[in-house]
Amino acid sequence: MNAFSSILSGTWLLAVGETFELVPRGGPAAQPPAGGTALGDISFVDLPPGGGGACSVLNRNRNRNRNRNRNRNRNRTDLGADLLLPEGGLPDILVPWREIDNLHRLRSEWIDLPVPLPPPPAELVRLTFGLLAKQKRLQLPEEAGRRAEILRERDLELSGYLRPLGIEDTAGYPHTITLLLIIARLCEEIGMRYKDRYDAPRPSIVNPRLRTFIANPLHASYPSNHSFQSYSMAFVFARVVPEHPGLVDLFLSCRRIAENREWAGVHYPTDTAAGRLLARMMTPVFEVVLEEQMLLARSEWT
Amino acid sequence: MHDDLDLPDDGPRGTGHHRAYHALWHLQKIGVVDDLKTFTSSAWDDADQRIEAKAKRTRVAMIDTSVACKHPNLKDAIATDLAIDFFSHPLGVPLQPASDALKQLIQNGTRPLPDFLHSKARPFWTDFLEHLQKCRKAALNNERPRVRPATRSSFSAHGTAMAGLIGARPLAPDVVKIAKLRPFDVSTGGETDPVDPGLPVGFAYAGVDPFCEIVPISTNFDPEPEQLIIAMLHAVLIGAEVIVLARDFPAPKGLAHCVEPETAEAYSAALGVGLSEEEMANWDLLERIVKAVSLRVPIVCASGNGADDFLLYPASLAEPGNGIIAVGARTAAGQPASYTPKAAVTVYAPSGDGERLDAAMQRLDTVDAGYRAGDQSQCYVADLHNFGDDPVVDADRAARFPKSNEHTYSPQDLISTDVPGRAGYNSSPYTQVFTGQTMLDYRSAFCRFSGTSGAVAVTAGLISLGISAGRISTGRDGDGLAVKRILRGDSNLCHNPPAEPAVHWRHFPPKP
Repeated sequence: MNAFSSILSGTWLLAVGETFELVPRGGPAAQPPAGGTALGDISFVDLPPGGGGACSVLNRNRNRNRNRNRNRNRNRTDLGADLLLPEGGLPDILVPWREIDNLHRLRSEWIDLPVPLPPPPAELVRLTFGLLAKQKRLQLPEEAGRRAEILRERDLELSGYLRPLGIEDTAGYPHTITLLLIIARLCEEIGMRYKDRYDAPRPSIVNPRLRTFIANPLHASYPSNHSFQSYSMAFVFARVVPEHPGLVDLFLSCRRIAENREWAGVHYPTDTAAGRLLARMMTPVFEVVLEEQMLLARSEWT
Repeated sequence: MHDDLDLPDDGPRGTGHHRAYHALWHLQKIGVVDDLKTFTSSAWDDADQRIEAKAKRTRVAMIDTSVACKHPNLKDAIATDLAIDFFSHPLGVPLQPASDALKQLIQNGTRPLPDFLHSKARPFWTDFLEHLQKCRKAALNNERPRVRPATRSSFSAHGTAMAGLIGARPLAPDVVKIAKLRPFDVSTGGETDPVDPGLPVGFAYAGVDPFCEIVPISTNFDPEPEQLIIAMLHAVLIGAEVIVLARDFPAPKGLAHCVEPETAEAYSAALGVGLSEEEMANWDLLERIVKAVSLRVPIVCASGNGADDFLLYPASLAEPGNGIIAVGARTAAGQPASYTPKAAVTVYAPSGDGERLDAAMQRLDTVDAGYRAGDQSQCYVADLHNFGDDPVVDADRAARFPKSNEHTYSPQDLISTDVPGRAGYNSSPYTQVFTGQTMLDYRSAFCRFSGTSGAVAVTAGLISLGISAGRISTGRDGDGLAVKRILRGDSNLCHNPPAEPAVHWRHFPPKP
């Protein structure tokens, strides 16, 4: 007989409620575990229900509504109340000093990520032609929704990230929301360094025919921090809950938020792409720097 | 005091007291082991003998999340020397860029594109191999990698569970020690003698094919085709004999249905983003690659957990002329799992169940503590029952029930390996569960797992075992189709219900 069959016949791994018990079995010396039942040749064994442990995320996905209601109730904590502001305003967090500290302890891992160099000036001018077409289309009646989005997304606003996850109007996910806010805070800082390094001009500077739909931010164009922040939230969340059925919608929403900045005339497509790539390359750093908060966020979904 | 005041009784509830069951029940269901007492397995015996005779291990490429490679049951199953992560870098970050295994495969970055792949894949292939060669040189020069892989074990639950079902190795009692209790004597301020929590136990968990090697190919979920194209090319590069794909491909046609015409412009309007023609062409290329590879190597795909009328993409590409296998889930009671799609799947494999209460299906966990028979309508409550649990409402009803029917809820999930410690599906209260080879909390090393993902892992493991035991082989033109035929047991059935054809070891050809 192969060695594996022999090991398995000597110990049983039993699923008991939400937990597990390894039970020695088979030989004449086999004794029942402390407080347990002697196990005979039966395939189902009565044992007390196991306490705690995580239930399956997949289970939640299959039974979204039933389980979501349970989660909401369970997670209505003081922390949730602290995070929510009236009138749907942006919740605030304390300065994430631990995460900022972690980030700077890993500075060498993110200070020189291989982001492609921005296009030269002549290419930037060519890229504005596409933006001019978008500027024209933005004025059409059917783009009223996009115009409203652009105005809403000028400053950090979480609905574009929370809606695809199905938690836009709930107070039950304080750790997830805190995680997204910390990411936004860290990305702002990291993004500024890269922007400063390349010091690329905004589209309406290289082509004054482009009238931006919103005011140009003061800082440089490349890479887009809206893209960087949005995609960072999506990539990190995809590590936290890769089983979430709304992940692709989250990425599409991030893409639209990033592309809306092109429609507004404040970013080139190359800025968007660079922000997306920077977010992707930052994920290994974030999953170390933010591990504690990511595990807390995960606990809200399992 | 008014202790006698209480709420009036509103009827029976679930006790929350499910029966315990053996974690490896699925191995018996698919015929890999004869029973769950002796674990006698002619398939494992054959695979064992072939490994003894220096046969190479079956190589399973798993396109999924990262894996907790140091899990005691997985550390010998994962081929980290070929593993690669596409989460953080478009061309991938090899976990061991200087490995000899990778060196032999890339041939200094000059290995030509296999001729069964479309020529449009050549630029991807060339860039990828050059990149691997650069990574190798940098590692040999002890240069720090510019981009790290996003493979932290804390966020590797899905891949860890998948890998465990496919190829976990059981460990004998002397390999991993369970920590003894160290009681503190408050009266003396000292420690009493350590207390052994019980007899030595093995880390007794096994995948379907504990002789295979698993190559994790981790990807992110950004809907862009390039990383998936290169992930498939990596599976080709390493000579994978089975490809596991529990995730879907988020191609526009999989995300937005019934879009006409199928152009970048129409899909951009449907999805609200600006898709380019190049992206659309790359999605097409990915589909061509998957179909071409599947003729040689079976690609085992999840059919989806949405109880939909359609399959996930690319499981939806499964047809008699290719080697794409769309796997549905079958419960311990032998019913189609409540979430498995109604559409025709290629095969069913064991997995967990889910609760459902809609016009098409009524299936609830009647033992769950949240279940109240009084809340349910009489028009269906009489049919509800659990597989293996005592009926909650009326013990006498048990005799009247068929063993299982569409109203039978099966509380038996698949059990697999989990990230030990706080992370994973099954959290431990301990931050650090290992001290050397001694484990403080073994329970967090295992988890419940379900969905068509689980069924995919079981199916892929069974195909792998077929190769390990010398019953089938893959890699040549037509092998993908042949494996699919064998897996279906030459069945013409494709029904839901019953959940047939179900994967089983008896469908494999006899020992030559």
